[in-house]
Amino acid sequence: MRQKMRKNGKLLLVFLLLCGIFAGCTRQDSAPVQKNGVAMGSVVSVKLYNTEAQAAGEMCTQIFEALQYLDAQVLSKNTETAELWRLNQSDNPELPQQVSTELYAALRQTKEVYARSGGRAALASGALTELWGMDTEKFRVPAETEIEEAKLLCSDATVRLDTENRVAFQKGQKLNLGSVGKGIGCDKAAEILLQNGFSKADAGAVISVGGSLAVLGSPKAGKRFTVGIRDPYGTENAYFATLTTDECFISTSGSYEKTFTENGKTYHHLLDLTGGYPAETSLVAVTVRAETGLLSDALSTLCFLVGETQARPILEQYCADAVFVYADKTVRVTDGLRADITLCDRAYILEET
Amino acid sequence: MKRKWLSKADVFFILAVLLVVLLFFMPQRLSRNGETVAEVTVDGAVKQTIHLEESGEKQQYRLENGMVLETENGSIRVLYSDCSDALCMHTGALSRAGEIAACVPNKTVIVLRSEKDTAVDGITY
Repeated sequence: MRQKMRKNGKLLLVFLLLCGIFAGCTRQDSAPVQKNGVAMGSVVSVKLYNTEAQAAGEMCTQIFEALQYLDAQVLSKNTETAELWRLNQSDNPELPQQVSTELYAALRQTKEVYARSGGRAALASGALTELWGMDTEKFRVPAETEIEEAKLLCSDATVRLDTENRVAFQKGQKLNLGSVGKGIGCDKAAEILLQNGFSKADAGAVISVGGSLAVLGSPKAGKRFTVGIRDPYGTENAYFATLTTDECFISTSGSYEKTFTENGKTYHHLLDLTGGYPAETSLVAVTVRAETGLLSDALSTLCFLVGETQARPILEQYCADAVFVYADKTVRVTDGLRADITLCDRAYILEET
Repeated sequence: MKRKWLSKADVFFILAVLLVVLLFFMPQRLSRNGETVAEVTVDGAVKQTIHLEESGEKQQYRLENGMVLETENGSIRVLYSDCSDALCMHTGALSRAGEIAACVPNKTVIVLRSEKDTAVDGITY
């Protein structure tokens, strides 16, 4: 009897071993569906986990269409078909004009966040960004007098957002959503997934609109997502740190993006409206994790412009977290994501705060 | 009679089974993990899928929009594009799964894929 049990035990052991090996060799989680394209003037990629291929394809198509519409019909300052373009072209902008609920919400939230920037960022930044050619990527360094003149038109004090979606501002001002457009695109993409039966409980999604991310659901049951943070000194595909995260929206503002060089001096695209020139700071990039795409995008710009000390209390108000990366490769983070960040490049040092 | 729970013969038998299983599965796994594919998307549609071979000779691919891609030793890069910013050419060679090179003016995106999972789910920049 004992002998028999031993024998069975042995067979069972071999059987279990084999099962383990086969399971290890053949286990194949269905690969995520990924679609890539260009929308809102940047690379858009939609990655769907544990989603049936056909449904995933349809959701991707809808997202791309919605982003193109959002840019060309609503948010763009430079496209004649867009609502914001028409608003900016108005002959008499001091007279309140009604806009769509979608555009109004974007203007209101952006103005609200930038109101905390001490005038460094504003909804009405258009006069200066156009002068520098930032929106059309035809960069140039303007003359001092031009900058002084344009600066006067970049205050949100003269931008009024009234009830019933009415907007008024001073003549010559240009409202600009360029710094939050990708984030708004992320919000839109997330909204479309949820409207089309995407279930956060058993599927996952990572949508990148030009480097701003919408992260929904989970990659596998019980797992969190891992997101790379671009190395400001590396190639476009290099990241110096990873962030494990659940659902969230993530954006990065860095002085390595959209740069140009004139007379030996390199300029980046993040203008400090109080000076009228690209911000001079020891920061090279700030990544923000927040509850919406618009917030993550607006806050990353704001953090870059106002600096870490001033940014911390603002981030807290919005329940957002940030990674501050300095030119000497020291990295400082807010408490909320300390446990989530892993540096993978030894040149960077995480500094205690 | 004292008998060991696992005799020498048993150990050999288990090892032999393990070896057979490994031999059977390893080549398949290795080749699957090693194969990287470059997927070229123009205006939202996949136009080409290029298998990148480790020891591949230089080879060029011309797209309808005039862009030229070059593969070599398991990597691919944009050799030529008529766009104004030339960012796609500056991106350099892609060789690891998940890497992306894009030409926004030409609405062209090149993404490397492999059966093996990519290290991260996305990159913020």
